[in-house]
Amino acid sequence: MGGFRLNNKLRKSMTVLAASALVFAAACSSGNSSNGSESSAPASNAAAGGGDSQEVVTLKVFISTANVPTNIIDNPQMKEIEKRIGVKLDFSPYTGGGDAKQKLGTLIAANELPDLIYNDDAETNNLLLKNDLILPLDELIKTRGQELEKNIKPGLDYSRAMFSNDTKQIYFVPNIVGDENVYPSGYDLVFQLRGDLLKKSGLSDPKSLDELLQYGIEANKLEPQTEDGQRTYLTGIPFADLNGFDYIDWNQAHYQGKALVKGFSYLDMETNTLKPRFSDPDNEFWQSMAFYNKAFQAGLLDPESATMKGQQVQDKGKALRYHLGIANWQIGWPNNEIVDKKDLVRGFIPAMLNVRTDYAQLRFSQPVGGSMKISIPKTSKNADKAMDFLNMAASFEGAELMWNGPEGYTWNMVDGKPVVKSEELTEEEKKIIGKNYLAPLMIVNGQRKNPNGWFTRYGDNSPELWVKGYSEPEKEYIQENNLEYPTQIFDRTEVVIADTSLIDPVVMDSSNSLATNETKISNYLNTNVAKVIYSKNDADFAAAKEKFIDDLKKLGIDEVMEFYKAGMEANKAKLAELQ
Amino acid sequence: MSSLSGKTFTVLNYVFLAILGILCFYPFYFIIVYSLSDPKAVLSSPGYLFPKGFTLVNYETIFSQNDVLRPFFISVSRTLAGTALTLIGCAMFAYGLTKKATPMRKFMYVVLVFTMYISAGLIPGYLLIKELHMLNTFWVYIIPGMINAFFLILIKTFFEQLPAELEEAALIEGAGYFRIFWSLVVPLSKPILATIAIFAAVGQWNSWMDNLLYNSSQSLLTLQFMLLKFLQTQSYSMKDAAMMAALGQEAFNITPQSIRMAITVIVIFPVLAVYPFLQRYFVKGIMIGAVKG
Repeated sequence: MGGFRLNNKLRKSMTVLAASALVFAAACSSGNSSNGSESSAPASNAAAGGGDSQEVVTLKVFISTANVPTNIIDNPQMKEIEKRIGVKLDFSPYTGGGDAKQKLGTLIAANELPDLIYNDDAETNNLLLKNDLILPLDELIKTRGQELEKNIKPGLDYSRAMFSNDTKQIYFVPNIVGDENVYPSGYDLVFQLRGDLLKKSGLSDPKSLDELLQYGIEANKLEPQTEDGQRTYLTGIPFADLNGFDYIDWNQAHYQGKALVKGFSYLDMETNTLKPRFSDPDNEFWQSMAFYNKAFQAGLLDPESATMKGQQVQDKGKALRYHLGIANWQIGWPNNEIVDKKDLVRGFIPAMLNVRTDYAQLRFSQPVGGSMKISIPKTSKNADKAMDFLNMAASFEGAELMWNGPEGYTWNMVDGKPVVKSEELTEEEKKIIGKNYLAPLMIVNGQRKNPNGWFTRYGDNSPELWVKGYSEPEKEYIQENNLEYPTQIFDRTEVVIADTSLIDPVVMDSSNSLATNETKISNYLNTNVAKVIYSKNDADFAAAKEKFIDDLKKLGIDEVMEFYKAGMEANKAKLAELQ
Repeated sequence: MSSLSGKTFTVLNYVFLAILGILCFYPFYFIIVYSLSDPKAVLSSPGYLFPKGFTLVNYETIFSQNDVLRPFFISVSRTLAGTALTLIGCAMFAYGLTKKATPMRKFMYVVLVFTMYISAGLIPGYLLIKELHMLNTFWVYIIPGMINAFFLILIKTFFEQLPAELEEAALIEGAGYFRIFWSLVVPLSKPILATIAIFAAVGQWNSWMDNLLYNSSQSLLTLQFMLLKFLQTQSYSMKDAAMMAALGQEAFNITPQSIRMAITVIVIFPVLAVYPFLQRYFVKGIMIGAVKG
């Protein structure tokens, strides 16, 4: 009995001891060790071009959209940056997860700002500016930022005009200035339909929404189910996502030279003015609404659209349950799935409908920079080195390093020009070269072409390598249209990029009396657009449309649009004054 | 005497409760089945009863792309330490509050209750942690949450129900308050302490906000926070989706549903595994703690 009690007591003691050891091991682990996977190789002391050793400085960087695996990333790209300019990046202020705005808020409150802030939230950027927490960069740019002046002047001028609290100084450097997103299957702003089904149906390329609907009907007859027996549809729209209604006129507006912007408006690319988006009964939004209503009436719109989120639509798109895509990401890049499965029949091709030949938004672009704004806090002890990093990111050499990684991994210099290796990169290799973490968020010079004549994303210099990634219908599409790659069809329109930089910075302050109207209108759109589309017949649709527009007018949509119009005009004047 | 109506009632009762049980259990089962299914096979339709294309690839993906062991170790450690110290701290504090001899006990109790309704907010909390030099330490996961007003009230209410004669007898025998607390009060309070232990343990296990705000060190990453980062790509608004796609396809890759399901299983499994063994204490303790006298 005593022996039993002793064993029991001993067992309990051992359990407590083991648990305590576990806790102390965790508690005593260094809280300040920054990286478990940091390279054990000594930091390089070679500066680029100079051969003199330089001190390596570690810059703390906050990026609001970060999702990095560790505080200090060890890969060939980072090592090359360290070698060239003696800078190491430490992402410890925020490595992703949770609310970045909250995290930045605590850093501001505790006066623990890092050396560089990359932030795309207008409110917190305004906070940094108005509370005098960040440095004016004009002097630093003059002494250490010549590449910025040389390569991204439009971005700097824009920043001076829009984000300087009327001081006309540069506080924020925008990222990817001059970027134009060109990639061979970049169907981000255009419809894409099943080329194989279009061919089988005997129909010609649809030139209108009505012809597109006809394609939908025929495609559904030809392929009413997937191989797994799942029902197919023309498409699905994730109305359960915030502002899911933006998918409705996504394509039709772009084809007619209208960019979707704030203030419930379109930006007319030709006149650079704002036009009503929801309250004009004959415009592209209502043409698209009518299209999707007809699709619903014909049983071609996925009925689960009312409750689906984007991820579910993507999953269904990847499973080829949709015959039409509104954007590449919307249906989960199905061509990639098709090519991976070595399917030699199916494939999506662009459907240009009645696209204008003068103005149409067919590619994303950032003429004066993206939404990410880069600033250097006043508390930084390494402002000089921070500017060195920005200067490198603004140079063509630096940007190309960030896009493509160092020489030898994915490309080599051949006769003075960069040539990509023909082998496909694995995901692991992409991570090794650092492409996933730095590019494009940290690149400042987003220009597509190097003055030496090659494209900065080296893959673009070898379009012949892209063929491997095309589905069969895409290959046929290229041949029939005499193209090098599918999205080259966009070049048949003169102006394919929209500059929304004058409307983007216009912000409705929460103290403005119209702010409530704006919120109510947004809520109304989110809850009622789907209801109109789900009208059972044309008469119901017409009645719902009339009520919808009437309700929006009662909610003050015209007044809200006027606010944004006035804001845009004010920005035009600001920029004109500076120029 | 069991009549026909009695038997009918019993049968219907069992059927109803069985249906209810299935309705409660099935979502968990579905998550497990989904997580064990081939990610591509479930794109068209998931397996509702059995995994479709049974595979462990989802778990392999999570474990291979993330160093899961250390965060798991940190989460287990904080759960153990946090639960133990919360129990000790709350129990001792509550015991003190039950003693009339404790100076300003009513005032302390009012202040405690006050904290349940009013919070200073995120920034003052962060500044306090910073001033206490607890940033980037393991103890920030434990100490700030050690005294919980709700737990304290539950325990205090329970202690007040214990017969005063027991303590008086112990005092007469010469036992001090500390001895009475450890040898008399704590053994009699197992139900409520087990209940608090469950609450505290689940709270510690699920917590990630403190990791986001107070710890930027990779060596102190918790499992929940690590998995949250892995799940970072959630529903985007159209504008976000367009912007991310414009920046490059690699930047916008929503985590497949099957991976999300696997992450859910990893996160809830430890709690699911332990909870059934402590359930009886939970039911008994919460009821006793809620009723006075």
